[in-house]
Amino acid sequence: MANSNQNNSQVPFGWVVAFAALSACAALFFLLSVWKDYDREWRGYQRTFREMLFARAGSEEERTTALASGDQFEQIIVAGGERVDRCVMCHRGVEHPAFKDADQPFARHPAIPSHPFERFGCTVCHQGQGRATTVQDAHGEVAFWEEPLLRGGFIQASCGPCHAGALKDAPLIQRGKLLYLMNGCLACHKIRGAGGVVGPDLTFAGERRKDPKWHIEHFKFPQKVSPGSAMPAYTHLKPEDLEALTVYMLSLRRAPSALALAAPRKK
Amino acid sequence: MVTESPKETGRRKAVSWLTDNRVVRSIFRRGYPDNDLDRAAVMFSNFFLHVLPARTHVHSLKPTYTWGLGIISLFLFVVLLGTGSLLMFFYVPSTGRAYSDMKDLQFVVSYGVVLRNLHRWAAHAMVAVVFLHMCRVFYTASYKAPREFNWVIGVLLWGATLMMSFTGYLLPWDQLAYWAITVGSSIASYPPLVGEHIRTLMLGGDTVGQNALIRFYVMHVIVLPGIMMILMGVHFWRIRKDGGLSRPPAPPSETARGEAAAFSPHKTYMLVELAEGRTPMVDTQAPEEEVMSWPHTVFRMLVVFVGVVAVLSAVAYFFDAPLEELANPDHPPNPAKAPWYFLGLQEIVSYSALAGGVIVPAAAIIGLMTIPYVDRNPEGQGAWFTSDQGRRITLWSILVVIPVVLVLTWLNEHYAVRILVPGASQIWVDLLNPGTILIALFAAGSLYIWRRTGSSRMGALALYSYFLTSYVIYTLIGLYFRGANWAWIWPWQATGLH
Amino acid sequence: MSASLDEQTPRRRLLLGLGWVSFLVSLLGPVLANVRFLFPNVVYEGESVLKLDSVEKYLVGSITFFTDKKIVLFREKDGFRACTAVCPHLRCVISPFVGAPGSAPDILRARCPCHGSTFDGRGQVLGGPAPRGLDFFRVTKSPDGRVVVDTRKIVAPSEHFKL
Repeated sequence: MANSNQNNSQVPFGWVVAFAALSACAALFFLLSVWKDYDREWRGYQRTFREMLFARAGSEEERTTALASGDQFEQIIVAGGERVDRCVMCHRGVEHPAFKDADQPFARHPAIPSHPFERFGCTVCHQGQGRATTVQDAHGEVAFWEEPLLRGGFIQASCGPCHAGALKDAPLIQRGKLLYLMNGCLACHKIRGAGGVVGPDLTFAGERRKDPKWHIEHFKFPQKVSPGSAMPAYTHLKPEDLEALTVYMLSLRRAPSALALAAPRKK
Repeated sequence: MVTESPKETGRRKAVSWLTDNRVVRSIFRRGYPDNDLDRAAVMFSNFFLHVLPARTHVHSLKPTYTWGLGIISLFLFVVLLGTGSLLMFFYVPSTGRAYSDMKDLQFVVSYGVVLRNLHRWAAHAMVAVVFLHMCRVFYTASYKAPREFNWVIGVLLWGATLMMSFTGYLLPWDQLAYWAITVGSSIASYPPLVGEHIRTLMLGGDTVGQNALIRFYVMHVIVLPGIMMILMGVHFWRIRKDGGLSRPPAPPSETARGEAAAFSPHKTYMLVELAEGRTPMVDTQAPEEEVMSWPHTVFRMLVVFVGVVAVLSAVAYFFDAPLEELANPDHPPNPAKAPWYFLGLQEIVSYSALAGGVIVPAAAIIGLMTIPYVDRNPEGQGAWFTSDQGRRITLWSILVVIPVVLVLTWLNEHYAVRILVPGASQIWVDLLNPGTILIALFAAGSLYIWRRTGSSRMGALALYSYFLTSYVIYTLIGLYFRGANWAWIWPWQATGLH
Repeated sequence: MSASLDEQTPRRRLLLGLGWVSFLVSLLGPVLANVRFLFPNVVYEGESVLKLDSVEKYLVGSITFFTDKKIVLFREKDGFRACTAVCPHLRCVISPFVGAPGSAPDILRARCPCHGSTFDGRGQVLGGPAPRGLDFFRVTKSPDGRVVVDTRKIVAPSEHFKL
């Protein structure tokens, strides 16, 4: 009786082994997930910045503050949250005078008094993905993000939406516009009601395609990126002309409503 | 009695201090069960365990009989409730915010990524596991009397699971979500007369927009989970009342009803168990075929739960839930695909909207619901495929359907109605397409087998296998072999080109 | 699992122990992680480090009430002080400080409209139900010459940011 009772009261050994193995597996992946969640790219950049800050500190007090700051989330909320830029989580020297000649990602950004950072954020001009906190995602150079970081001269395109008129600081837009007229693009394309109807209306060309690479490729080999297109190739243009044309194309977009709210209030 | 070492005595005292005190007794009523009486008492004095019987038939515990699919579905549902409730704290169902909230979960909310991954993969797993559970119940003939109605509830639960997944699909408000729901809700608009109304009710408008998002959200977080919890309660309760999991009938000598000998002198019976009637069933099993549910059933369930958690957390660790670009109503991806479990329907819709949107789903749902009332003979319960004959018929049904579907698909490519007779009326397209032709062939095939074998069960086995196989093939076609403009591609030619 | 642990073989007991410990980790761990999940890392309530205008914009003796940021900035002879505009009683926003320009802090008065607590220019409670005075914040100057109020750092009301 006691014997049969004992057999009856124990589950087969295999189930005990399965329990131990699966529990261990579940616990392992839980701990791995905790580590993965903690071990974020931006922590490394903040650590490096702290070290640089410490090295550049002039006084004992500055050294203490440099060491005291821990890993932290930081963001610039533009226009009540329509745009949120977390670039400063890695680009920590943006406003720090001591980092004037530092290399990216810690380089100081020249101050633009008419566009204070805390009101305009970063992506308004630089594009990219403001909410992201990994390098690739933030620079928008990933699948499923349409606005990659604008590098070099392409950044001038961002002036276009709000400052549609002449802008001395954005010469590439002017040059692109001129090339657009000189090369007869007007014959097929329409911008703000003026031009032909063979090709698509380009009034908001910069909203349809936000990647400079696409535009350059499209000017060189239209059919490659837009199958069936009737557009002739513009391979004869110099690379810098193609770049200017691209900047002009990218500048053709509506001003984001966030910008209107971020603009300095008239006193 | 072996004498204990002082260390053992200390341990025993510590354990008993922890497990056998006033508070524990007030919750569990008894200490840790160490005899069969207490093991039985644990089962019916615990709220969460009392849905299980005190003793379980050994047949119900065979892993190769149930594959644990029902209990896995339940545990996936529990995981989904937990992760879903947490995700709700960081999600606002607004077209202006939903996508940003997804990004915040990904980038700045602690454990946001892992919770979303768990929720997403558990949802896909549940769609698959519930379906496999239905196949298990069908192939073991467990829908037969007295379990007909529980089968119907199961079919409803399967539908609710699909709706849960479908409504959740929209919430991230990315391109994947937006266009899958646009395509999926359009499939629902094809039934004549009521189709457009169904779609309007579903979306709260003509297109997928803010109204659709809030409707899908409310359905996803309140209405459908509520319905499912009630249906699951009934489903589990009916398992008990219908005599536990199905199993082969015991040898006749033991089942003779009304004879005193059939009652075991080793058991005690409540009055209700002695009353005349079909349920509850007390005399169909001998005591030696049973084990105590505590610990045998409970521990196995625990292991399955831990297994579900282990597999899900591993998958969630290695694979991130997809999130595409922000939904853009002006720019559909090409091809725009429905969620994977509706791709079979979408493939048939590409032949004929009426066939894929109405005839096939209606045939499937009506067919599934009426199986237990058509195939009524009690033959073959509790054994996979009923018999060797059933096994052969199932195998051959699957093998025959594969070439038939492929040939029909090829024929449709080259000799479809509109290719033979350009400008043919839509009625002819709706009547003569792979979807409707297959349904006719399936009906004929299963009726032939029913006549030939004289067994409705064999006919049902053939019919279910036909549907199952063809739907799997069409899903695979929709998933891997359809590219831009729904044209044929090879899986490796698939591109992200929108 | 069995009636009592004593009936287990050592091997079973070891495996069960490992299983239960891991099980507890994988059960209690997520509970703690989920509590952490509920504490937000970012909020959209405005920043805690407030950057105001440049130092010269504030006239000596002026008291600036920032309605949207819920702080009060005192420009005094030798520097700045800043306090919260949120009443410590039940978090209503107090009225702006009143008093002639250049008045000494103890002449100034601010009143909470909800339950009538009154404060002087040092944040001290003069009357009403407020349990303590107004919090004062650390004021600094940014590298580009602007007033910065760090609402995360609470200081004594007397602490000046000296220019």
